[in-house]
Amino acid sequence: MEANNNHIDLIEKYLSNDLSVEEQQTFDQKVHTDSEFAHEFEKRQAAHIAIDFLIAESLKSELEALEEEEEQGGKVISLQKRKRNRMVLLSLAASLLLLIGYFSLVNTSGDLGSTGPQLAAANYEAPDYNIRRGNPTVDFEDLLTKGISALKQRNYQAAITTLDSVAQSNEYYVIAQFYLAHAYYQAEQYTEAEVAFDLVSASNDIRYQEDADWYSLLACLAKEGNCTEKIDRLADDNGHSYQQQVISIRDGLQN
Amino acid sequence: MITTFSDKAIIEAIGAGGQERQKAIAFIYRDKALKNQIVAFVKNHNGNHEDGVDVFHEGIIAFDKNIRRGSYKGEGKLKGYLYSTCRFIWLNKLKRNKKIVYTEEEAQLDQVLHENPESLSLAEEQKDLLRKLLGQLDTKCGKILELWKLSYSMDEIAQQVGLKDGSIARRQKYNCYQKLLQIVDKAPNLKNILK
Repeated sequence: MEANNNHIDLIEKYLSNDLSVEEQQTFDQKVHTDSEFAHEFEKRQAAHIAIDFLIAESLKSELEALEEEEEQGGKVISLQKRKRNRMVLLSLAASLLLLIGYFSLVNTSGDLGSTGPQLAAANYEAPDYNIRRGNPTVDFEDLLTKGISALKQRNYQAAITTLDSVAQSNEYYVIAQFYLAHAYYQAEQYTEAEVAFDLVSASNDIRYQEDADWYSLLACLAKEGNCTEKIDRLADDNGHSYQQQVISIRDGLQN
Repeated sequence: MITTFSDKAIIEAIGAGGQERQKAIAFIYRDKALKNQIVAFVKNHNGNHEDGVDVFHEGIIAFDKNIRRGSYKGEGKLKGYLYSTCRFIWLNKLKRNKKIVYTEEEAQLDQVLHENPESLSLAEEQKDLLRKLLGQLDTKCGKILELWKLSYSMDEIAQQVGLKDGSIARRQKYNCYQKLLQIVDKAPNLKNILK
């Protein structure tokens, strides 16, 4: 795992021009001799090109707007202030989209109220089965790989047995618990799923924590438990990736 | 108050990113003499005023990118470099539209300053593909990644996109970057097209 993280750090430094000339030469050699490293590099390089493209598009529209204002003899607003104004507009647009989404949900469900299990069923999506950044290449025979493979094939009991056997001392334990929780969920064993998701959530593993918070809530709703505390905590967390979905669920339950 | 920059200060400010970069770009944008020079060049080469202004903007964008990437070598006056960049962009556009023959002499002149001229801007095919892929990323995520690449601090990112604090911005940035990597990984042709 450490070696992989070192690779990622090295690639990110390269892409940010933070390597010395000698380090760059060593890096170039590695790209030619290590295919796994080269793949990771190409992926991240493409992502950086994509972000550069976003930067160029933003700058283009800012320059065009400045030009327009100048031609009209208007006051030139600073690039910084313009950005803030745009964020306000984007926030308004996002709110509007949420409202549209909410009313779509209301219309398709036929009435104003929804039950926990209905909302859970409408929101649950199977996880991404690619193990996330920072993890080692897992051997096919590994318990984790076997468990995930069984889950993908919807062989839930095999997945549960395999993933549950990953020891707590194992460095992949949190990841195994995350997929174990999904196996329980898909097998409709919601109480066990919620417990496993809570464990992942409490592990503070940044890669899985927010997903685990969200799925734990869905498991709670699916079993028709009392989920008020979970809903309020996530709905009030401004930085949480699932905040808006949780607010929609809270609204759905209240109506 | 208008901030003035020397060539060195502009390069340092753009390289450092954040709000200093914004000020440096605004300073370049306000250079009327340079802008008029570029517009005049375009008008003298089958273009109109609007084309000239577009090229000036594209030149600033390419200039910003080249400095951030470290591909600007700092040789000669910065104004000259930007003028050459804009001239190159316009002549290449004409060449693509088969409106002129790009003479060897002109090409060599620009090659001196632009070792890798293709890096100045992406082709339309590349832009279309990137727009399509980036459409899968929500606007806020895109903004967070932009600001991160421009070296804004996590606290500044939080402030700009309306998050509670820097630690939340850091978490969001991590999630957004992972999402982008997944999008890139699932686009089989992307890496080849961007080469």
